[in-house]
Amino acid sequence: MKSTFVSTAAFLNSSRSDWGRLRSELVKANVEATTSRLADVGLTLGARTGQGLSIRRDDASLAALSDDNATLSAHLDQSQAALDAMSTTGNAFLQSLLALPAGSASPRALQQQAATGLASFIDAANTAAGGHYLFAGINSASQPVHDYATGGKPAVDAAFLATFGVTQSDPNVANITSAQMSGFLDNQFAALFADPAWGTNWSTASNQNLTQRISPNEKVETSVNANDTAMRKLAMAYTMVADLGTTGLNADARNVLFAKATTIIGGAVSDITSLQGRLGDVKKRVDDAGDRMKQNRDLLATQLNALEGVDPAEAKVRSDSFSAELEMSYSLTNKILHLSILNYA
Amino acid sequence: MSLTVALNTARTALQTTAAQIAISGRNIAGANDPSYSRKIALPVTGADGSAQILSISRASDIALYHRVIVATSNASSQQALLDGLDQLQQTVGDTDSQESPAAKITVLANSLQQFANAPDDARLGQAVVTAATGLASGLQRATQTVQKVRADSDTAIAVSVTNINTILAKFETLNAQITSGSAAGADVTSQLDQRDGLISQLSEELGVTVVTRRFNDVALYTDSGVPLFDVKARSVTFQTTPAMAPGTVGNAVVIDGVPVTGDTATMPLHSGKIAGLTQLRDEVAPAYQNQLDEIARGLVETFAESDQSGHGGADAAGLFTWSGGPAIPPSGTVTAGLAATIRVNPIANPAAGGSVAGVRDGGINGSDYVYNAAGAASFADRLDALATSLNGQRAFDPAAQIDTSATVPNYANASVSWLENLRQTASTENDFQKTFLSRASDALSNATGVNMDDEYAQQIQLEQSYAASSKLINVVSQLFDQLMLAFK
Repeated sequence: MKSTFVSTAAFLNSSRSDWGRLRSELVKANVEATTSRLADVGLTLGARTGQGLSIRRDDASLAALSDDNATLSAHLDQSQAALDAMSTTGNAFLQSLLALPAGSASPRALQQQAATGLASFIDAANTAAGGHYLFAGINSASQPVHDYATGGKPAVDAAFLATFGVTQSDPNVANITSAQMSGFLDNQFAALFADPAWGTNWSTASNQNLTQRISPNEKVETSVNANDTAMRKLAMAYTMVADLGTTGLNADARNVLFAKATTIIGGAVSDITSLQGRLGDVKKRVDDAGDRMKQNRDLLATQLNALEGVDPAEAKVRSDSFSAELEMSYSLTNKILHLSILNYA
Repeated sequence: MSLTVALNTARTALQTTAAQIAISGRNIAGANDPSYSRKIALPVTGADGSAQILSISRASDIALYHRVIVATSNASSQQALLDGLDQLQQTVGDTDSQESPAAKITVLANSLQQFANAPDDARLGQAVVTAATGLASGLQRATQTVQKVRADSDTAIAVSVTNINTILAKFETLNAQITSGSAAGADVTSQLDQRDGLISQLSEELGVTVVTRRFNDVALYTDSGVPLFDVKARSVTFQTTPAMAPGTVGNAVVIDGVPVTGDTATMPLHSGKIAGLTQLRDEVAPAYQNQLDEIARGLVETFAESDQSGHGGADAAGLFTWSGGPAIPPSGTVTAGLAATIRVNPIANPAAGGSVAGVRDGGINGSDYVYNAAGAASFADRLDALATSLNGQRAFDPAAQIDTSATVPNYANASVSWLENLRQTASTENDFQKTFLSRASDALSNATGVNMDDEYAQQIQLEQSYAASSKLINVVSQLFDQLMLAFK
């Protein structure tokens, strides 16, 4: 008798006991169908929850680096434009110098061009992007190249006076011989553009270039600074022609001056080109890194979906089946409640 | 056989049937009471043909009953543990929320990397400080939650112990009644049901073993063997800890002079709500607190500054400092409560009057600790070093129950995994225990419960039998009348 005996309490509870479970399963399935994600990620994944966090961390890091690379690209473009300007102006000056037959006139025009060239060079070297000077190395908060009048000029004037005993505008500069000029240019004048005079009078840029992390495993030098040989040569060549009393010199000294200037400016322009090449390389690396990082992000998104994602269609089917189970349970309970001998006695 | 005997037989039959109907009535009244067991009357026929109720017994199944008691205790302890773990999980949240320390460390690491890529941008520096502030306050909040869980468990244990004492007092009265009633041969089945109900309530609080003795006397022991009730109720005492803090150890529950919870217990409880609560208060929550403290320590170590000037100064706390700063906490071991006192160094925090330049240049602890000697605005070396250090391997205390050597971000991830793993296990176990309890209760109910339809059918039978006995008395009475008439 005991094995087939069913108490009234157990009989009535038999279908009611599952309702709690069915309802919570139904809610869970509904949430998963609408969000396409596990309803309670930690409960379902348990010890693998940390993986989801790792994937998110890697993705966030790639996103941040991609943003930084966009800014870097813009800076690189600006730097290239400035270097282009220097290169163009330098080339034009070089052409002017080359077009000049030895001993011919119009030194004034050249002097003007050199002065203009110097000003535009300083302007380009001081290119800034929102308070960040592009050619200042890590000293990016301060303007790298001083104005000529307050920066390099006093030292040039002092050196000229010390060597020749007269200022650049004195008529006696016509007495300077070509040998004297040649010596001046190679020694005292050249020293003005070497360290430590360059750093004192001309440039506050740092020799250390900016480095930036462009991808999780790559760190590259991303700028060129105003202390580079190319910049010094440009400054030297322009200053030479602009401010050493060109118009007052005799023909021999002037020719020496122009010849030297031609050599130097030629070297400067080709150095600028190699600087541009360097920055071009960096840009290419940045673009490549960006492509790789984008691919990685796509992979990470797939991994995350595999870990935490739920097929919404499957969740809907589950939700429907739990719904049906619940309804069936309700109708059975109703039937059971009506099964009483009192209805028939 | 005389008419008198027949009359007597009918009379006793009426009494017996009436008693049986009364018992059936009691059964129907208790049909929906889970602790009620079906009463069965045992009618016996005497030597002279009369029927009497020899005894009333109740339907019982000792094995099933013990099974239900055990299942109740297990379900209760798992539920207590799971509730605590759900509360602890609030410190972590969903994986796509920024709530967990692990997610906040990611935000800090990224803002640090972005600052390193453009060190002259003060807004990026501010972003680093904001991320650090968020992380420090996140750790503090998590500590508060953990200690609240411990304090709540402590209070719940006290409530449980009060409950146990109340139940044991009632139990004593009832047990005395039952033993004296059984010795005198009275019907103690109702009291037996009540006592079983008390034992069920008790088994929710702590696991009990029931030993039945002569005259239905019962002795109660905990599932570890400590006596709870033996003729007299034993004392169950507990002291709450008013201020629960990291490193504070809660008190033990003491039964009959024997501690049954905690490290000092030689006979610890295995099941029941108290077992679940003490596991939460003494093992799970402290381990999680240790993990939080270790994460905090890793952060202080990572961002510490070292002497750059060659004067031999000790390493000192940089961006993150704590109540024991500027000294660095000892490495490789937990410093209890560090996660509650970690904060962003005010010297590096513009909101506290400091400057973000301290993060980039160093020098938070004075000029000996300056890394950016030239004062360059785009000095990235220190920031790069910090980013590398954040991803560097560190030694962690094994007392926190996860990795002993990991990077700080991975350690924080492991902490989340550990907690969710516990929660998953507890949830599965809880579901299992609840199902087991439900099935065991159903089985016990089927064995000892009342089926109303069955009772009603029996009542119909008894009705007929009563009618027949009354009819018999009527017939015998008529026969007596006829006999008397014969003598007129």
